[in-house]
Amino acid sequence: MIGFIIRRVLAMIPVLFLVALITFFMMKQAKGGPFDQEKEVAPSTIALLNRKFGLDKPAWLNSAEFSNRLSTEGNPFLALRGLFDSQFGNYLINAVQGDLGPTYASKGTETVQDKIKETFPISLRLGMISLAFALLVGFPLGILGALRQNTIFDYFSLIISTIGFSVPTFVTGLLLLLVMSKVFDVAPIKDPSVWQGFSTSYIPPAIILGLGTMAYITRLTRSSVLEVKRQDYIRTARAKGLGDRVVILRHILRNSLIPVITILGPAVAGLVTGSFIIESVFRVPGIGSEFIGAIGSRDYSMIMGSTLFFSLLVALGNIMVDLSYGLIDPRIRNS
Amino acid sequence: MATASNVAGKSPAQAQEFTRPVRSLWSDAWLRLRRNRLAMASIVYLFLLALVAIFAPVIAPHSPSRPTSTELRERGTYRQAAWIVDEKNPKRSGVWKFPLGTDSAGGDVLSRLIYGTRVSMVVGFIPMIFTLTIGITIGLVSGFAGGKLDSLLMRFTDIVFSLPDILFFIIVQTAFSQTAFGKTFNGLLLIFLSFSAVNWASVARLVRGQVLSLKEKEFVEAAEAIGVRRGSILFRHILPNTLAPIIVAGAFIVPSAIVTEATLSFLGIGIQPDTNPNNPFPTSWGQMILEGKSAIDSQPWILIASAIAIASITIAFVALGDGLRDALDPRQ
Amino acid sequence: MAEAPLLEVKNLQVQFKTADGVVNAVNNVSFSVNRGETLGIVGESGSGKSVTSLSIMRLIPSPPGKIAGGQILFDGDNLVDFSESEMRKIRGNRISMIFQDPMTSLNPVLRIGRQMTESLQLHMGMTPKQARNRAIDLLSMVGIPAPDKRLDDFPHQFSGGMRQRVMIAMGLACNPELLIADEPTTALDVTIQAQILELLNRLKNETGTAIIFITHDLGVVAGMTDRVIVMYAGRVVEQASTNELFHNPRMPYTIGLLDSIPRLDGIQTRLTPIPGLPPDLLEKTERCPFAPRCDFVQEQCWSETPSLRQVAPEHTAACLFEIDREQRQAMAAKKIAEEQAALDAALEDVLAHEQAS
Repeated sequence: MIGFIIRRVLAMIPVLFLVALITFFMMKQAKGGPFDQEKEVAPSTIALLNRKFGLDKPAWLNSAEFSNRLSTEGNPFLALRGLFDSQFGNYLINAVQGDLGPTYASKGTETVQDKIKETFPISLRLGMISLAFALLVGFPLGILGALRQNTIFDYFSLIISTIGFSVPTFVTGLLLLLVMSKVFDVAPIKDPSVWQGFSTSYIPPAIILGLGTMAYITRLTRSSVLEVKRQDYIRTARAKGLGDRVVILRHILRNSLIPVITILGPAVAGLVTGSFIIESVFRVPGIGSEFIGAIGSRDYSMIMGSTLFFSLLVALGNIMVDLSYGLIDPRIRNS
Repeated sequence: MATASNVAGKSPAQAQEFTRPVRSLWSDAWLRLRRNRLAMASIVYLFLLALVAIFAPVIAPHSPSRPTSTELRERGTYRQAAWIVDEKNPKRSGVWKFPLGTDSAGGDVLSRLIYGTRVSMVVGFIPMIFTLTIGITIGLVSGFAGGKLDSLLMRFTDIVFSLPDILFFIIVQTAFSQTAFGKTFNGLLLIFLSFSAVNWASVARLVRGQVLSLKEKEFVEAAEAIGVRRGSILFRHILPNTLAPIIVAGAFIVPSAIVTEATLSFLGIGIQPDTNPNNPFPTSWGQMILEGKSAIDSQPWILIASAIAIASITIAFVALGDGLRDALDPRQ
Repeated sequence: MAEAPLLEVKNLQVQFKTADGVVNAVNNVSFSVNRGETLGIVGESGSGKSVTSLSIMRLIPSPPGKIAGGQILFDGDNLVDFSESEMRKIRGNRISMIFQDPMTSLNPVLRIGRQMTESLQLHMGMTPKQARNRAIDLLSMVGIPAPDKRLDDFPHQFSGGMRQRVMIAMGLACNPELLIADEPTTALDVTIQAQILELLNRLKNETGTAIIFITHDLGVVAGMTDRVIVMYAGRVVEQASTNELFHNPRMPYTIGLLDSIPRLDGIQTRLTPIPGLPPDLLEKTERCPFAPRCDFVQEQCWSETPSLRQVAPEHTAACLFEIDREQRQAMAAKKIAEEQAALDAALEDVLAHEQAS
């Protein structure tokens, strides 16, 4: 078990490294630096800012510093640190220590990790509520659809899940906003303090955010229950004279949960990465809104930092799911 | 005594025994698909949309791009949908000449909606072809070659698979959208490429899995035993048998690509608005939703119309994908 | 002898609705099982033997399946009229069933003990403790070593033969009056098959349970059963005591079946397979269902569906004519002779041709 966890954590490293590499490379390609925005800024100020953020160093490898240290220190291993005294090298070394650097937008007064610490709890609450919604609605809807196959329940669950699965969340989100404002006369929330701690304001964005996941869980649960219903061991259970309730609860449900759990990893990832669109639609001041803002203002350190953070969350979610398989399926637990 | 009547008795039997037509796997699947009313309705709807996309210049009542100053006077800006009367501001009252009204620049919303079909169609199908091509190639090679090449390719595939895709698209768009390359075909090329660059991984996994299980099947062993060349085994025996799951996967890639483009355009980093009247892809539904969002109170019909357009096309593709899956996998 | 049979199936009719039409899986099937008796049901795949047994348990998947007519009298009660909750009191309690594939018939995520005790607690009102003790007894009865430990194992920790033993133990848990074994050895290795058959034979004598033994293997029937019914295309085509059926088969299909397996009694005969395929059950026609494949087919066979008629004491067969095994063998020998003659003629022809040129 512990070996398994260690292996999985190690497997995260190349993914995160690749994410950092791609992001950094892309950000270098982008036209327009972080400091050349609306106002004209003096070249000396830009130079100063560049220096402050280490942008005067080479992007990838600092060979000058390498040869410099090689001649002064002589030890090639210590001199290697000089080789990585580049923008990318320093970024990685700091990121491993939890320092994602200052945000460009704040001109260095605020760090990316501060921003994440400030805004992530809001996104986490949103994500938790929407996951709960997706599970609490998705499972029963899928089970009901499968057990009452080709009845009105089944069609209802099919319609809801097909819509939720196909229609992008920003579309449903905007339509909900429209209905809320035109029909129920609910104004969009402007006061940021409502997002501190759990509040009812979370419910509309959480439902929309969870809609896709809910639909996916419904579809998968339905087909999984239908599959399990046909299995020989269900016939065995019925041949024992067990009632419907026992057959469903004891024999069908646990077996049909197994394939559903496999998608919870991607589902959590979808909730995490989907949150920034919903957050911007519903003006939730979470990390997603921050990320969208950073794209608009070309705040590269914020973009990179939050991308890495999102990727880490997704990877951790996948590991959790892999661990939970064993709890439900004895065949995996014993192997 | 038996022999004579035996012959006489047997002939009608032989004819009677196989009265049902012999059906192939594909015609059987087609029969099941045809019985699926939702899937058939989707096919009809998508076919109509394809016609709309192709004949957009004929169908659209007005030019989709920015009007000339004389046109602008007639169109007016921020005009309401035809059935909405704005008494305070007669210039913005709806007229049937512009059924869904006009936008902030005086563009006819209905015409833009019609032209938007083109982007969704193109953005659905071309990345699907790219994605399938890359995925099938890597999956086939990996599964068939096995050994070191297989584990190397699968390592790579796993890494690509775990990339959070929408983040990747956003970063690519931010990085390249202002470059010449990023502006090719209004930025469509960039969307095609970045979408395919990530999404092939799941296809490759699927194909590899199929190849690995098919390699163990008796008919492949039989082909090997009679000395069929490896290339022929791969293309004659293995590839055709992976086709059904590939078709289903492909059917689901289309709506996912459409949603990706719409999402990026909604974030303002998707396809780029173009005022050139000769551009075949002047606008996209995602872009219109973004505009509709800012006009949500004054002109809700821009949002509603484009939202319905996006929702219906993705629902139709998903329903078609579901239908194909059920038709090709008769277990359910 | 006058005692009423334990189970009496009368004119059972089972249909399945499919996309291509209604399939008549079981047609007018009647038979009975006495207390303590073992009845064999023999037939090829699709002959309706499994559907018949599932109908007795009322476990036909519905829709698409449905019992369209007939009676299933169990101890005098018609099971066809039973409500689902009345039926649940019968299943696993007074009638229990063992299925073909032990690898898939046990729930993979539940411990063996849990799966064994649930029917004991349900039908016999045992406490979990009592049920567990009974389960241990049952497992040792079917020959599973260290039963108290194995109860806490999962199905995947058992081999196929061991799982079938568990299934048998589960089937016998509530001392049923009737045990239906649907091809219980088909999915197993030959050596394991023999062990399972031996176990069933021993348990039959120990418990006195009546058994319906469904199989396509005539060899198994010979060793296990008192009486046999042969099914073909959803109908019973022959019914006799096991001994009578093997020595005096009267239906051409049964004759064909017996001729297509090797005999162990030293008599050398040529194995002759039955040509063709079983008929499509979609069409309902007025003819003998076996006619297209029958060696003795006559004009009359195409216009009349034969019903079971007495051909010997306690022996019925569904054939319009008096056919026996020797006729078929004589015919087969004649056919071989004809073929040989044709071959010889052709050879001579070739030789003559060569000489001429």
